[in-house]
Amino acid sequence: MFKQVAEDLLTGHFICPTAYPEAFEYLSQPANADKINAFLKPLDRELLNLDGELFYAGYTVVDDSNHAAIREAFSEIRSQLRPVVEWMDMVMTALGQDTPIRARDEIRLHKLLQAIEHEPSLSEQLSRLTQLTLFKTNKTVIAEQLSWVLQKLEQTGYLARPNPQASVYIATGKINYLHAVIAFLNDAENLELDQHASDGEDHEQQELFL
Amino acid sequence: MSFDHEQIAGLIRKLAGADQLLAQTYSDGTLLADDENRAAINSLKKFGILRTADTSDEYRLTSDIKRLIDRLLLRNQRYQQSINMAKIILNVEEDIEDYRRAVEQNRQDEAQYHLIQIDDTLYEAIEALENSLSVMFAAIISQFGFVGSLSSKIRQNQRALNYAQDLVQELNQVRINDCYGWLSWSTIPPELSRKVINFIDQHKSIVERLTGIVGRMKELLFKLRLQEQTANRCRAMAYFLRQHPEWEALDWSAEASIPALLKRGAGLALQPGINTANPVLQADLTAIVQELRRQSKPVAPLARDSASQPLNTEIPDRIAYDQDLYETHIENLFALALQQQGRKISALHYWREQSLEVKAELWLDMVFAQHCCLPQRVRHAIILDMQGESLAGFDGNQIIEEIVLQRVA
Repeated sequence: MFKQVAEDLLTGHFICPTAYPEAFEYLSQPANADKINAFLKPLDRELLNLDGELFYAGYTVVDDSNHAAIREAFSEIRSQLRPVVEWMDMVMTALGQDTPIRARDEIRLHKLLQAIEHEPSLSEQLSRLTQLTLFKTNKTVIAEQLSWVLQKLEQTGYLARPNPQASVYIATGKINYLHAVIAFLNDAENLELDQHASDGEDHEQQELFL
Repeated sequence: MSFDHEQIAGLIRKLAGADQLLAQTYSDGTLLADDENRAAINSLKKFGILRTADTSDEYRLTSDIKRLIDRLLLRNQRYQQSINMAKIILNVEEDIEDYRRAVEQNRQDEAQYHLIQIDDTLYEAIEALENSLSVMFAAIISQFGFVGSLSSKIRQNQRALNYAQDLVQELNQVRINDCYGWLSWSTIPPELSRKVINFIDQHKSIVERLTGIVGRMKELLFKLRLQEQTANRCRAMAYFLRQHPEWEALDWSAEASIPALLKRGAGLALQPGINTANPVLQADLTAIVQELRRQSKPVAPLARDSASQPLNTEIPDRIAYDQDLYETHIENLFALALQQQGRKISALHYWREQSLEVKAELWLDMVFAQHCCLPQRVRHAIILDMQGESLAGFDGNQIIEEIVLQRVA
């Protein structure tokens, strides 16, 4: 298992219980995590853990040899931020949930489809979603659009499908990483999202009274 | 107030006789009276099993019966028991005093009655606390699974936490030293001391577990609030992105001090090579080669990003250690035979002329062996005349003493 985990980490994978259950189990043992860390150390990397739900390899030193790789990784996340956030917002609205989408959450295609088909504003949101680069498609049927979007999320590592024949997707740890990036951008770029959130609630409540 | 056996049996029969009706009322909450069940309902009402609900034709279980079923079925989801420890302790103290007096005056029946009262009070107090704890524990484990939304979970957690903290305060009202004081009685019967000590032990255990539950509830509340913050932030981000379609995150990877979260790379493309000289790998490698041969569409070689190197066109020199002196002499001998068309060339003569250090027999053996290894076309061009004595008793075998080479084609 050591070899497999080391290769997964070096190839930039996020190791979470959904996408790599055995590797996650392996790294959850402190002795194994120490062994992997010792292996990564001479490569200027270390094993990092996010919320106990995710392991990944991060650089301990930033220099010319790895700057391009760091930039490439951040560019990927940056380009996926808008479409994935829009998708999460749509799912939370469709399923009427106030919990965020996080690692291990189940996304059932049919349940989601049922909710979107019955709500024109959600169908419109899905349609807008398919105009964004990550989910770009000419498909016009809602079921096909949704299926396409979920496939793309699976390909980019945000969702995993334990049974390829079934239409149940499970959120991976990469979603948690994206939440952490949002929190970072909120602080670093003063987006005042927490303020927006409470304003939004007030606004919604005011609308209810009007 | 005392009940005889028949009275208790009658009540139990009443309950058993209306089992379906009562089960339905317990599940539905209310029972609607009609012509068929009116008589049964009236009878149950007389026994204090049913009571009238808000409208005249609707009935509910009395709270005593409902509580009894709740407790027996462990379906009591309410962890908020109204436990007044101060009052319980006061009752126990009074009962112990009555019990002591009855024992001292040798009134056995009365003493027995007070002992049962003490037992019931202590048992009920502990049972209520244990129930409360187990429901709170289940609520933590299921993350308040009996409510669906995150906001409800947070509210429930907050309420449960407040209750648990109040309960800790309530339990602190029990001064353990005072409880030990109940035992400071020279002729205390062992059955009472056992009950009191048991109560003290259970009380200690409950306080310990309750403290743990309060800690876990605080932790869970913190986690739930973090989730709420994450959800709200995600929603707000989506709203922000819709309001600002032009917005794009700054390139934080270009910063001098890259934040720790972003210090991860796109990942290495691992392309291991195979050591073909390793005999352990040869069987697997052969299998791979066979597999590739069977492919109708060959796999394109991997594109490598490495910089191209100019090709070295220099003719490589012969490597000295690769040369075999005698192989060279034999090649020269064969070349001589080919050049001297028709003329016979003696291998022994060449051996002498070149002053070769090997023995003549070995030299002749090597010439013969090398001739056998020649390509067929060259072998047919040079014939060997093997000269020497035939061995007696061996048909066709001889000791080779000389080889004469001659080109024939």
